[in-house]
Amino acid sequence: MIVEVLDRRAGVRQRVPLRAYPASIGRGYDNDVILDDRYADARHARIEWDGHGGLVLIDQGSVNGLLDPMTGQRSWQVPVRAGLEVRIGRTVLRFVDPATTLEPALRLETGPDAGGAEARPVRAVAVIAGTGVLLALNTWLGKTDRVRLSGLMGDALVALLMVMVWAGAWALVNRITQHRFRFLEHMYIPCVVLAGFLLATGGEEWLSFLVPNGVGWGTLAGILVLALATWGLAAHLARVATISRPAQWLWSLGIIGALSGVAYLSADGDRPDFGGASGNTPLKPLTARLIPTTTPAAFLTRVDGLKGEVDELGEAPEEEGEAEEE
Amino acid sequence: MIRPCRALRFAGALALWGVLPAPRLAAQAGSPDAALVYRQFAARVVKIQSIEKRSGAKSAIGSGFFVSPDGHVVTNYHVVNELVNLPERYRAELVDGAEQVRAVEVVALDVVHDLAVLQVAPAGDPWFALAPIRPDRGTRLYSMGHPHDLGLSIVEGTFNGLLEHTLYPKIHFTGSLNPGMSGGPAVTAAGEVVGVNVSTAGDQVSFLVPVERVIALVDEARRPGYTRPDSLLQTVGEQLLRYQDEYLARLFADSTRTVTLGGYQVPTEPAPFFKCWGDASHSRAQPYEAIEHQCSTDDYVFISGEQWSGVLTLRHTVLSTRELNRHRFYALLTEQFAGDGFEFQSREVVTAPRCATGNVAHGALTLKTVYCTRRYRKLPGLYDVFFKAATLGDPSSGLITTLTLSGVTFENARRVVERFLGSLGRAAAADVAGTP
Repeated sequence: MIVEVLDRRAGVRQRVPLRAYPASIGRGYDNDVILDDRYADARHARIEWDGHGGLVLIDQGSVNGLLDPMTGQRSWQVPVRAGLEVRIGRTVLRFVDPATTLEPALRLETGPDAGGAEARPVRAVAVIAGTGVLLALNTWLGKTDRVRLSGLMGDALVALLMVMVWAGAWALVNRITQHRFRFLEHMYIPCVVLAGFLLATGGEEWLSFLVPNGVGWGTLAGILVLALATWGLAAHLARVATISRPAQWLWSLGIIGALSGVAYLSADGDRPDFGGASGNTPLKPLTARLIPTTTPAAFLTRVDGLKGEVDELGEAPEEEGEAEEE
Repeated sequence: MIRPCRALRFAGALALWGVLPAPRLAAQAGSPDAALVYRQFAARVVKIQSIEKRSGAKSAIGSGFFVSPDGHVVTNYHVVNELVNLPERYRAELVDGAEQVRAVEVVALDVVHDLAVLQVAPAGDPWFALAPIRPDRGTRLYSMGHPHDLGLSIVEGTFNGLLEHTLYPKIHFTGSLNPGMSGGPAVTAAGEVVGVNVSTAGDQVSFLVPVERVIALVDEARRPGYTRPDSLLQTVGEQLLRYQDEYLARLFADSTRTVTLGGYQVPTEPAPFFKCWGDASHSRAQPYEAIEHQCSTDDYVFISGEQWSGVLTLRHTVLSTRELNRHRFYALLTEQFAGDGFEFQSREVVTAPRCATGNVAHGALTLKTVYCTRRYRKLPGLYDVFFKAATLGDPSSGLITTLTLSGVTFENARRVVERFLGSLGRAAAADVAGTP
């Protein structure tokens, strides 16, 4: 039997293999398992054969006794089996069978994701700077009043600052779990997601400008952005936690899925634009010659189709019609 | 903007209207005529209240007056609209001069002119005999009613003829009408009914429904063999359908009138009952110029507290810039283009909108077009429509144009939009040169 001495966060502080019985547990230096605990007696407890081939833990007349870690109930004698947890003083002991089967070792990640940005700091810095420029450009092209350069940089810097706070939080977690900050990597990930988001929405605007009324470009861009966000979260997790790659993706997918589910449910039920039939449409500066067009008659033919759609909505009982909008 | 003299709604309405300045004409009252008119005719004017059945309390009040020996009472449609829209939840009662409360029933209505005929039993009250009358401009009129439920009052004012540029006739009454007076009569010193109090634009500018419309409706209700329609709401729907057919036929009727706006040719003044305004702005703070032109009617039809109809507006905006690059200019156009849409109405009365978007080549113009429509839930066959278009291709100037129609059939709206779209174009070079 192996005795694991647990620390306060249930991590293992010490493992002591027991090879011969009786074995003793206590604060004294002559014990087989030595406890660093002022609430334990010098000779606190003893493990011996019970005469039926099993082991038993016996209180040696200690001050505080053997306690159940959950209920705090005191016992004088506890049969020992694998998985048993006993509290002595302020210390919790766990008994483990040495024959316990273990999970295979985790594979050390060596891909670009994990070796990551720290291995390639130039790329990380380039991506971060590129995202900043993209943000500034996006703000500038969207401004319809007079702007100063400082104002534009300000917007981009505020966005980058928020990314830095996010990265900082991950780096702190990383420091706790892995004793390394890896700040640059945690900075690089959200920048990739942000840049992807800007490109996806920009692309979506151009596509829905050129080919209106057909494909659900918005939905497509939305899925793309969600996939990117899932990748980002998985990449953060890969750095802070020692879980397998599928587990990273599952956790990430679960969190992003739950968040977008909550966002979807809490969004206003009134969503007339849902389904790509949008009344608001972007206008883009393209030479008329390059814009695919139809005749007014063809457009009005499509308009005729709307009658059936709103009639269907109108005929449905109110609650149902409402539900459809939800 | 003209607001309806809606039947008094409690608390909120009182607070809102409480801040109105005291009527000025009333201050110089004390004319012996008013006292005489009041003494002679007050008994013919009543208070109408709409009662919510479950709470048993009044939800709205208005005024009315007897018009026949058989107990017919005239009031505004909007005073009793709750009974028409939700007959299972509301009933109406009448309070006469002797504070006697009697149940009344809506027997006929005219939603377009905002009139309703009620019937009360037992009959036998003094009544106004109705006859067509067209007084001279400036004739003194006395309007009676229950402003803010404060008791029967008389307001002196003058007849100022029929409104110009309206779709259907309305009398301009210079006198102070307040909520609660809706449905009361405006009479001459001799007691001839000239019109029915209906709405106000504030201060002394008020409106009356001409007595001719009242006569027509009362005659219909008193015609032998007339039976009250089973569903008043259905009658409302039928009247709106007839109304929109009539006025849309007059829209862009002959050759469409157009105006030149910053290099574009756009339709204007679709019919004589439209009022058009324009403005151009160039402030130094903005890196662009805007020229605006818009037309609308003053008329609209009150259906319920949640729904109104018959509104028709068109608006053109030409934007141009010398400062913004093409990307930023199109961001501006996108912003302006997105600003237009339906006015909010509850999902209980209209469906969610459905839209079609297209890129359309029309003559020399390449346009982004958006057509949205929603249907009235309780009034089948009627729709709201807005159509907007923006010119594409020019890096530094663009036209955004919007047409809004409400309470029309799908086919009529489509036809009007087709004509509207057809009349858009680029101005001839000579025209452009001529524009300042």
